[in-house]
Amino acid sequence: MPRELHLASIVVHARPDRVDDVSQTIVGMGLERHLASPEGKLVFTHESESARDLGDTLTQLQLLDGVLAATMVYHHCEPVAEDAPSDEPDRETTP
Amino acid sequence: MKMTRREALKAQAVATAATAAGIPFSAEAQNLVTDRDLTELKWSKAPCRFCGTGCSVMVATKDNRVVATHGDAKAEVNRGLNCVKGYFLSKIMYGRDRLTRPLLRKRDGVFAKDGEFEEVSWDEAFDVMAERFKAALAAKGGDGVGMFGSGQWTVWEGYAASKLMKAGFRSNNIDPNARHCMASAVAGFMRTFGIDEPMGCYDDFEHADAFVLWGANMAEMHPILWTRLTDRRLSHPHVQVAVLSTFENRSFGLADIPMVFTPHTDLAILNYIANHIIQTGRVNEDFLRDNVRFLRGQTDIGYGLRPDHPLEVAASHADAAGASEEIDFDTFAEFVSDYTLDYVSELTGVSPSKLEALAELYADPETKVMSLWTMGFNQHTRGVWCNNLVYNIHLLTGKISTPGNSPFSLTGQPSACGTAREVGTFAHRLPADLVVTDPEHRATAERIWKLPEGTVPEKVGAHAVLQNRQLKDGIINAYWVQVNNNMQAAPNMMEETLPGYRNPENFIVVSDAYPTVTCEAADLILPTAMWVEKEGAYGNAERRTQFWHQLVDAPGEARSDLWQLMEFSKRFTTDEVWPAELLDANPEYRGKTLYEVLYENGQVNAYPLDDTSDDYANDEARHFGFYVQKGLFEEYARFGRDHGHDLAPFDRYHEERGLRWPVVDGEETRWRYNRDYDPYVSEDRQIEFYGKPEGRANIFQLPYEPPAESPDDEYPFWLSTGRVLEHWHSGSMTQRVPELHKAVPNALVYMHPLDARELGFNRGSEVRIVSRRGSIRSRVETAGRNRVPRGLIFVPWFDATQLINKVTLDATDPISKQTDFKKCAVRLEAV
Ligand code: SF4
Repeated sequence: MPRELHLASIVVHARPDRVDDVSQTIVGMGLERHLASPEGKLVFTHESESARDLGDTLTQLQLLDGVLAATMVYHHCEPVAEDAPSDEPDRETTP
Repeated sequence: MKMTRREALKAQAVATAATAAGIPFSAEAQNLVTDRDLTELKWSKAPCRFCGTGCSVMVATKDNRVVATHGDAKAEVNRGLNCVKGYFLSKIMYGRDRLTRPLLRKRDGVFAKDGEFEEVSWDEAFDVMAERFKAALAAKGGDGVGMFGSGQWTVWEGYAASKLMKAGFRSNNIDPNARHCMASAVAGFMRTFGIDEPMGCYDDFEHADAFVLWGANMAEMHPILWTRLTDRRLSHPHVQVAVLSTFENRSFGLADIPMVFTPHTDLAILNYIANHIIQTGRVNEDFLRDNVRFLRGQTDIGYGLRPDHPLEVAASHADAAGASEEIDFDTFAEFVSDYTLDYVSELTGVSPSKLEALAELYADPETKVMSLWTMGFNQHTRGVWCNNLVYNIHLLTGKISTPGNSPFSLTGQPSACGTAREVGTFAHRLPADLVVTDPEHRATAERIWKLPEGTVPEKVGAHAVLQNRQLKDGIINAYWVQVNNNMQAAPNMMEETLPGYRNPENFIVVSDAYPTVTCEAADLILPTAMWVEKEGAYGNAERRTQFWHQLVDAPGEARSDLWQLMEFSKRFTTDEVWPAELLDANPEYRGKTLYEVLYENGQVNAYPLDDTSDDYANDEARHFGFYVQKGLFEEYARFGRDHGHDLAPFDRYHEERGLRWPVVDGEETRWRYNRDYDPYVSEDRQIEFYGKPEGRANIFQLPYEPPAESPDDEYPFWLSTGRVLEHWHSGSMTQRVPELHKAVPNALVYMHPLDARELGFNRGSEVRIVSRRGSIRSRVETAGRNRVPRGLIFVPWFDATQLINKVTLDATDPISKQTDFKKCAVRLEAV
């Protein structure tokens, strides 16, 4: 099966009193945290090689205790070229 | 610093998210536009294709493929956000089992009902299909053919289909799958207001002081609107949220007033609230005097089952379910006075204090209330009543048509409103709320369509459930299903649906992008272009019409439903399908193809190919040689302009993030029936329900009546079905479905831990769910967020591996003909 890169940004709205533990849990799930607002809105990015993984993660986030809403904002999806030329910058970061 | 491409992507993703969340962000995203790869993407807007919320998404294409999406920050609906389902958007068109060639059941090189699917050309597919449709039309006229469409049709696809069926084949046997989710809402609107669709809009979310969710699990099913509701609740501490359901769901997490009630007793709660408003002297008398009429609705109206079913025989008014007679306020007040707090608390199992707190939200003149509902009300054998009764309580208090005061019927499908309802692809409807039973309405349609008088038949066609019964009984013999999986969605599958599809007398065509259970039951499968593979228009739940351009090409020989409908119409002549009297009286229509009379009528083909955008492809326009979508839309818009349903000129929608009709003098309308916002309201009125005589809406006197089937000794559990979040990404949209008859017990039945223990089940036990009609296997789940009360089980239906509709009862609302999937009686057995 061809490999794919899925990169998504996700806004999580946590209960204001739960921001810290929700945030920790999510980082523990492998997402990268970027921004937070005082009202409890957090911005994460998620990277994976399958849409299934992203979908599962989004669902898990939405159902986490302390999470009011988890919504995806940006989703990039492209095949990871097995034979991409070596000067492509993304070669160096492709896991 | 030179960013790697992935860093640039990530920065852009974060920047877009920050904007959507309203969080200020640093300069890290500034380098974006310099990244060559990212600037090569072409970004265009399109509404999401997954639900009736109608979020707008930005879609990036590169090399004829969708590579990225993000929530559209310019869209009022979603303001840059996108829900879990949105992740499908980049993937939905690229499943490995996408259908790309027509498939016909054949044996020895010719069509055979019991043959195997073989790839055929479009020509061969249409030849066989036309032969079967012609035979059915010749034998039975319009009664012999049928079509089942969808709230996923684009506006012009639904319009072209309706025209082909109602005018071309002269058959009203066309119904959308919206019948399963919206029909009660539609009938409720028509009975109370005389015009379909909500008077308010999503702006109400930012104005309301209280939200009441009548069965709607918005946290899971309408996440973007839930975000708006949550924002309002948390930023305004006085705001209250009441959540009502027959089991505890995810939305209960935000509930100030949580309420689990016995199935079907919502009718009594609604009447209790009306009673409470009256008893506590909070009726808005000025409002009632000017704007309302009181009616007593027909009672004991049966359950929409087959006429020989004992419940129908026993019902005294099954034949006149929609009837009513005028009464006065005092009569109404006396009637609802029976719905006392004690009685209703006992009936519903809800504590008096909670019921009172709920009633106060409506009664308190200072509280602006938004009521929200979907399937809990609509899939109900008294669904129309529920809709009527919730309007009652908004009308008694005058809490309607002003910002924040809003009875709001949510929708499930992306264009349930825009296509199924507004275009009128129902068995009894025509565009813009016209109906086939009214001679003037038919005349209007014939005039606009430039067709002879008498073309559109008067007889109401077969609705969704009746179509399945008529297929089984061999009455409808040629049948076309587009964009929906009705085999899985329709009730009582083994007794009604499947036998009809496999009836040897019948020829079943299914147009879809992916193989589904319905495809497997078909004789001919047509591969369909989807979403941004064609130019489209959807209408969301707040009357917002949104357009998109074709952004990529469809794979292989997949063609849009629009192409299929119009191309198929070329194979019929008026002489073949219209009766001699009609042609004798109108000889100029002789010898024409249906394509000519329906689509080459000087209107639909009025706009040349040159009018299409230079920046986007348009396969249908190129094929037919004119701007098909614009011609169909402009002809369709004639029905509604100056009649309360005004749509803007076609081209404007390509510029806007949608507009809410009526669009008058270029302005959309946010709150209908209110002079401050709605130009249709007379100068001398503040509020005018202009869909009804004297501008008065109807308050209905309607009782609590029991459901069609309740638990008993033999079948002691309530069964409720519905969706759960997980199934949106279970792959069921893109996965090949397993064999129809194979029971794959990997899905769940939610039940109370004590019920499970009493029956000797553990969490994870395999069980059989048995009703009077059929059974399926499943696994017990006693934990999780769907916490059901004792005596009720919940089974998700949106799952091809667990076909719960083998078990459900095809009881319908007798007025709307919508099925009640929410309740029947079952027992559980160990496997
Ligand atoms: S809420 Fe509905 S329209 Fe909005 S992104 Fe989700 S599925 Fe699409």
